[in-house]
Amino acid sequence: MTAEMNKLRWRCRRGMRELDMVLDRFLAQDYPLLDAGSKLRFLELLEVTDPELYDWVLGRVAPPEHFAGLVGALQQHRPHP
Amino acid sequence: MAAYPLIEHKYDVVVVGAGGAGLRATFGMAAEGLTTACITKVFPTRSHTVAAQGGMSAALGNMGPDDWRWHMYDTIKGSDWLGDQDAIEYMCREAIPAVIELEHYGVPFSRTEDGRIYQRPFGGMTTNYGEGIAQRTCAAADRTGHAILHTLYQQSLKHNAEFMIEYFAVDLVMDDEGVCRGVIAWNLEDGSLHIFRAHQVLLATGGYGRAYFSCTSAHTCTGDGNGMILRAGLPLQDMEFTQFHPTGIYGAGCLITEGVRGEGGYLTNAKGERFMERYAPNAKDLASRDVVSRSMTIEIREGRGVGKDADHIHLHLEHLGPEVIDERLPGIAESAAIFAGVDVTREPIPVLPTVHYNMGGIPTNYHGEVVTLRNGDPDSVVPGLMSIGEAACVSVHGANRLGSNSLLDLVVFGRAAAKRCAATIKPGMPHPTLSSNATDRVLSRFDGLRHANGSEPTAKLRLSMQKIMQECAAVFRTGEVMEDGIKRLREVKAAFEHVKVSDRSLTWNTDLVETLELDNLLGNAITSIEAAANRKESRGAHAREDYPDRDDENWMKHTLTWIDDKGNVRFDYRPVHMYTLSNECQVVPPKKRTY
Repeated sequence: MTAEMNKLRWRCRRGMRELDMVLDRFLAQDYPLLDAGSKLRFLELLEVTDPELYDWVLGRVAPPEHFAGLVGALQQHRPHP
Repeated sequence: MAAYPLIEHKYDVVVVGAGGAGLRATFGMAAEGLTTACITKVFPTRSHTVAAQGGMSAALGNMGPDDWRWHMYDTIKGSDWLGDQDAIEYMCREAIPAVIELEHYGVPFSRTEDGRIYQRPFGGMTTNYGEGIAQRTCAAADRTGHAILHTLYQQSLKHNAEFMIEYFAVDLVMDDEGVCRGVIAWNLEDGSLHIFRAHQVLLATGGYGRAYFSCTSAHTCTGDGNGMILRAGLPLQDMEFTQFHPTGIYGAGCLITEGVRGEGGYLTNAKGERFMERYAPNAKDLASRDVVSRSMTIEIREGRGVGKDADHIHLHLEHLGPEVIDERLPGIAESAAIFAGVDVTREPIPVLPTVHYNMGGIPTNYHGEVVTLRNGDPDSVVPGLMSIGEAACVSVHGANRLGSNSLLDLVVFGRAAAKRCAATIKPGMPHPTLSSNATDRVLSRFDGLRHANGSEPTAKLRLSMQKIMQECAAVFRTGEVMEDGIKRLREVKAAFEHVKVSDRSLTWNTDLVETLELDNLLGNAITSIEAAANRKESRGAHAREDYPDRDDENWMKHTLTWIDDKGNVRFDYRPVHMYTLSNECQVVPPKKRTY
């Protein structure tokens, strides 16, 4: 289980500082409370490119429906909601 | 020591790092028919190059008259005459074919109405040797870095380059003659250790912004290649020069691109005054980054900062109107809303100079070959070793880099390194046998840190280092404060001997990765602040309050800094190259730098 969390921590390392900040907080605070399906979907979300994910987090572009819940949760970790 | 079976791989070339520089080199080498592996700790398109929004400079002249010699002049002046003029000539001249090539490979540059590549103004970029403002920076909307990474990764795959993704490069394999014979890397996923043999190992590992508490860099910018160089007994160059970007969002560190000022954004103090007019009457808000960062710091220090603690500055875009903001600066409105909590169409963004770029790094010539000072020769090539990008110090940026010269540096020298390898390596040349000494010392350090059972958690030591650098090696520096910083940093280095790694496993052991990264960061931090205390003048980004003037007589030279196991440093120097490669341009002699 630790290895699995560590792998996720590593995958939350992005090219953009802004995403590092948001994903770190989400991983620490929200991820442990997710159900098994959402956990798998989060792993899938991490495959998305930085600019795409960033646009979703900023709310410039709506994410596909199956990511909407997770992106909504990520947006709660923006420093100035 | 535990036994670590090494899985051996043989390539013509191994590139470490998959940012813009690493990918341009990987693609170029593979396209030349060299067997090429690229080792990267994160997925290639998650390299920090992805965050480069502003663009890439090249004197294409699409928006009006331009000339690569003007670009060369601007870069030399921007470097405060610490840049090597042969390398700067090479970069500015080759910028033009390098951009055109990128366009052909598929980078979707923004266009003018008549279909040419659109170019915007950027700080320090002028026409006719400082007379007018140049529009020289090519961008793919606000995602130039991403577009370049994506395109070069696809091109690399197309030419059968091999990628070792989520492999952490531990150390160089140096033989007894000082020749680099390969690199040892750790596969984070399955825990295996690998030796990559190569005729050239090319370090494209980026900068070390995370040595500071507040920086615009992603977590991944830990100066790993620089750390490997120091452990190989080689020097780093000009480590005292750290660029503070004028417009990091106050409190968050997130970058607001210089393109905002390029499109007409400006800074004000608490009185609402456009203070840059006083410091840089001509270029104003588009003066070079070091000049703008110092001006902001002076305004704050003299009590004219904004906010309740008068500790930051305002950046205005309100006057541009929502259409211009949306069209020319997409994403700025949203990121300001989220990371600063402001509506840019109605109110200014709170900003503060934030650590952004390392001018110093691994000394190289303009082919990308690592050089050192040996037997009186300041340009002595280290066989088997190359470096490019932010990790390297060619030196094209000297004491201060101009905005949009970074993506250019990556692409031009990635391309140059590929050409050099194509000229010097015959595909499939045999690899000499290697004594086990060369690998034993690498493995024994790795094993030592893996089993480190001291009392000091990695995160605690890292935070101490970051706070010290933030406090003692800031925009303005004094000898006294830096000496205090050096003393405290030595304590952190000593404490690192007692670091505690809790996880002993080899798969996804992020605790150990972060400890290896901290070791690299510490080498960078120590050489940076020590070199800063050693350089008794002000030049470019290095602003000493106790030595406020540039001193060409004593200090127009590159600092080389070595470090031993105990963290003690040694200095020597290389001359600045005051010559050009061709007679199509002339050396720009030093003069006072004003904007």
